[in-house]
Amino acid sequence: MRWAVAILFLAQTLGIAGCTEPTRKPRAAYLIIDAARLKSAPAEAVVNYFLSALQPGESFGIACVGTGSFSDRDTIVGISLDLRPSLATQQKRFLKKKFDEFTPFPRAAAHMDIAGALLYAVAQLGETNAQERYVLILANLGKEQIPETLKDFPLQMEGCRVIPIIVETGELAARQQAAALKRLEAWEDWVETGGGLWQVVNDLALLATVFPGS
Amino acid sequence: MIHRDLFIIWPGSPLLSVLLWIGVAVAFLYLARFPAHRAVISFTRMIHGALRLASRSTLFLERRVVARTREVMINAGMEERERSLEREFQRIAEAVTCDLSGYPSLQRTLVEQSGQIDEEYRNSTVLPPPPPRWVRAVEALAKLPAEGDASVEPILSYIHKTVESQYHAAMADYNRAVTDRQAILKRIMPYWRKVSETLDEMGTRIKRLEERAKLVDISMADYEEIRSQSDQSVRALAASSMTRFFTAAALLFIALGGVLLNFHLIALPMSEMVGGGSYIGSFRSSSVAALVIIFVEFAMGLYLMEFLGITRLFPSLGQLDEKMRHHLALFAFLILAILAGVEASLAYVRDQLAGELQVFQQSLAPTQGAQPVSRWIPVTGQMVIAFVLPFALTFGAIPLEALVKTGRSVLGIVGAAVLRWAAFALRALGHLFLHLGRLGVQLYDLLIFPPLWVEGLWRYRCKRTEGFLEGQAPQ
Repeated sequence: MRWAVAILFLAQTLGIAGCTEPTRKPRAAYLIIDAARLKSAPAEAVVNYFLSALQPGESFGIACVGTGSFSDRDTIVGISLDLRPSLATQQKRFLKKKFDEFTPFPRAAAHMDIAGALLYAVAQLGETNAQERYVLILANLGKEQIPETLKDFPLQMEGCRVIPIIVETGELAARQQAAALKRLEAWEDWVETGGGLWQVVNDLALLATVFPGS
Repeated sequence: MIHRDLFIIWPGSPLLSVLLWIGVAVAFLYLARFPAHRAVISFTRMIHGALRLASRSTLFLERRVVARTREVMINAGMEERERSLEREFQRIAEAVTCDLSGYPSLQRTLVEQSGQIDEEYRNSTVLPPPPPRWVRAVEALAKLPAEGDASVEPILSYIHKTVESQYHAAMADYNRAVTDRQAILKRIMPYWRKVSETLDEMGTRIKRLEERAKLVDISMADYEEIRSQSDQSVRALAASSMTRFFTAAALLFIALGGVLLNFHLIALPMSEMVGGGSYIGSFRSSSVAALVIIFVEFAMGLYLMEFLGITRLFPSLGQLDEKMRHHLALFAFLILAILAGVEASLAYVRDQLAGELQVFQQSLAPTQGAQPVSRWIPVTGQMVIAFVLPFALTFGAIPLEALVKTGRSVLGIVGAAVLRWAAFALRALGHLFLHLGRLGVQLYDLLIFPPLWVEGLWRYRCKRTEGFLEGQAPQ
């Protein structure tokens, strides 16, 4: 009799456990935005998407690249959400506020230090101990070159996915150009040599497949 | 030279080579005919024998399962009838204690009432005083003729007046006496009514007892039927087990729906307590915590039903004395009520969290979202559901008990049916192999039909020569 009750309990547990959400590894994302695109609609859409998709316990950071040398001053916000949903929502509000209030420094260089920002983002993500790490780049990578000094720099990007977001029409057209294409391939090689994954997103709707929400 | 060329007997004519090979093969097969027949028949008979043995073993097992299931069903049925009888006897005892304990007072009331009635009746029999005896003398004087004597006339007239006044006085006395008797009889009426009501009440109580006694008779008849282990009673028990099993399964399925609803009500707010991003194994800590709460509630419900004597899943709990069971039932109910309160508050927190998240999501959206019609109705609804569900799930213990108790019988019935079909399938398969062996022999002979035909012809001629088959054509 007792074993039958125990079996029924076990079956019920498994049945309900089967209905619960599947396991999700802790995630962390870092968004690098070109200063010229900071107040653009795609930037706002990406930030809004991440704010709604992030779960308690996950991390998110935003940096704005506007100079030829990336530094700490270019980071807008970096935060690890609390495990409690109510506090996590408050932190998201704070993050949104910081993003809206941020004013970029005036652009002072012909080229932006996206490579430096990328290295900084990878280092920041490494500190979170997240198992899934994402670096999103909202900048025209076809226009920017990897500095010669950094080309041979050993990147440590295992488990890190680098996602350039190319959604503006002009940018897409520019991407078709041979030189831009070559630069993009150079970026891809650089990331993959460091052990990272390269995935281009041409449509913001695809973000839901790259970084699924709740 | 390739391997194919090895089989060419007649160079330059592959067809001829193939025919020659066929001829060789047929000759070889003809020579090996009887051993091949024996091999095929032996092989198929071996398989047939093995399958037949397996079928018999399966049937034997099926008989054992049927016997065991029958035994289990009879025992379960007897136990159930015993419980039913016990319950009926308890009810009768309660009825006797409750109803017939008032019998002495009822009897006393009846005696008092009848005494009152008797006394009143005796009072009512008091007659008016008879008319005085001298009235007859006066009547005789009154009959004398009044015209003859002038001295008599006034006397008679006086007598007449006296008689009339006496008559009126007597009538007045009589009327007064009758009125008094009627008043007394009227006073008796309530006593009669009360006696009648008392007797009616007694009759109703006796009738109730008779009905209980009839139920006991029916249960006893059932019990005797089961004890006799007749096929009819076993069939009835099997049908009853199946019905109860499926009904209990359906009810438990509904209860499972309730558990799922409960889980979704408290899983999100649980993340506020244990954290939303932590995991135990491959499951969220909040989900595990919610499940633990639900299972503790269900367990408390089970214990509550057990302590109240509604279910009997754990005999050791049933053996506790009445007072202890009462205290433990109260304790289980208290824990259940506390957990229900916790769930209601969690449901409130859930609504708050969901609302806050919704507001934040709306602030991110470029357009303003629609506002809910009412905020308090869903909150109240969720809280009420979260509070009521643990108590409602308590009743899941009843179908659970039925499922567990009938599960063994149903499993036995289904197992026996499966074994019966397996035995049939094994036997059929054995026969199939036997006939396949015979078919194989026939096909073998079909392959070597030319030498067989020649052999038949030769035998026919031999026999004809010997004069045995005159006038018959060769087959």
